[in-house]
Amino acid sequence: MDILKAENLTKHYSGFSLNKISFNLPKGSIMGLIGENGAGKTTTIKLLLNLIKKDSGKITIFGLDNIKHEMKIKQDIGVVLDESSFHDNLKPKDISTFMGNIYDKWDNKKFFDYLNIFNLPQNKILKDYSKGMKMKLSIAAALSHNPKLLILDEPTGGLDPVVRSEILDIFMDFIQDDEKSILFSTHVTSDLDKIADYITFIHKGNLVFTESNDEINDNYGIIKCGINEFNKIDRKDILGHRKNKFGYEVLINNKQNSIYRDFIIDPANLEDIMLYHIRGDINEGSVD
Amino acid sequence: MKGLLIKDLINLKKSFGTIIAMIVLYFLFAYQSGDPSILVGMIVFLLTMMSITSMSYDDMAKWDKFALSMPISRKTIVYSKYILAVLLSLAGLVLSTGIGYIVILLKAKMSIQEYLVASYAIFVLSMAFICIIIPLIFKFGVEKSRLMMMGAIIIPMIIGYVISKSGISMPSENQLMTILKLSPLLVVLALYISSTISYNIYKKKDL
Repeated sequence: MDILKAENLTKHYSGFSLNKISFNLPKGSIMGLIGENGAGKTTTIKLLLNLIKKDSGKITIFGLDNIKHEMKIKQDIGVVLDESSFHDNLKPKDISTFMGNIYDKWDNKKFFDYLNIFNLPQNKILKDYSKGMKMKLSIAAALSHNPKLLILDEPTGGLDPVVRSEILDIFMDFIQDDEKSILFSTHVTSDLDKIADYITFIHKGNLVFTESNDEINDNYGIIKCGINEFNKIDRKDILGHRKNKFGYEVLINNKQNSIYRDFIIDPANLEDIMLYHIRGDINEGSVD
Repeated sequence: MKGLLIKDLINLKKSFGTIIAMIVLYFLFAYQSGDPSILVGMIVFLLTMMSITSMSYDDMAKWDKFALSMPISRKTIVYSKYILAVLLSLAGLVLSTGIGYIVILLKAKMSIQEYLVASYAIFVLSMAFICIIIPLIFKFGVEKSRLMMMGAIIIPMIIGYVISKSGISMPSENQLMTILKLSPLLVVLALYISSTISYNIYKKKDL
């Protein structure tokens, strides 16, 4: 069953449009939302949370319409937003005091357990927290009302590798019971190579693909070759290519095809896919 | 709602210290002169203004976006600010009445009745101020509203000055008492209209 279902999400701004974004997030899985800065990741998340009004499309969370049942749904979602958080002059204890009055299922013990696990000082105000500590605090708060879905906007952005890997471990723990799911946006794609089950890639407000990580590993690859072989590659399989003095590097999305049997194909990670795709966009029409 | 109010009060905790210090200072001043009427204006107005301060704290933390991603409706956010303002004003009214009562008991230079009327009038004025300023803040944000806030204080003063200079006779004591008796109704009505306007502004806002 899908915990979250987005169908044809559309939102127009002057100078930017999000066009017909659709994806499904099944139970017990982690989905990464990727794309360059300004691609529409945050806009998509804001639409899911009804922070902005969509122009068209439909969002279903836990099988319910996200606007009709907004308050009920939000009791079961944990949210971490990139740019907004708790006030600087609060202490963790203050946060637990009022959060308990906002979420029906707020669990004080769980919150303080997370603070201990994350090594967060309880007698400091947030102003004295580092960026990583603040992020961990936000995640602790998002987890402490036993949500079924986590929606996080850039939760690992600007954090060092140690903290990032701690946070990814927490995410893995969270989905262990196969009942809960996570959607998170990032441009640190190496995080997703490690933990994501699904990838939704948005570029300039358009959906490039939404696929499982297995499908991506099975189908995407990078061919390094000379001009003769390059000409043998089916043009519709090419997502982007780079030309250098040794020959061509080509990203294809159909490496199982038998015509590539004799090619040397390297695995493509998400960063390659993003880069080639966006650069391919720039080089459009130059494949010849 | 309760969660939001608790959040605001915790955020304002530090400022309460400053307010208490000022109250002590004014109390000494009022006791010295035997006239507590300055005291009441300061206490009620300072406390009422703190609801605006809480909005600027929310602004700095970009709290609203976060709050609306929790099970909190836009209506609740708007109404919580009005409730906070009314609660703080009432607290100011109770506090200043108590302190004024003590001053008058010790040095009776004005009647208690007179003092109560003055306290209440200031409470009504601060409510009027809130009803004008909160919709402006929801529309333009705290920073841009600061100038308008000055306007909301100065313009009525200028109008009052012009009227008094233009020779229009001041309302008689009876007329004033009638206005005073009607005022609770007017305050409730103003709060209702203002909060409805604020909600309609906030409802349409993309965050």
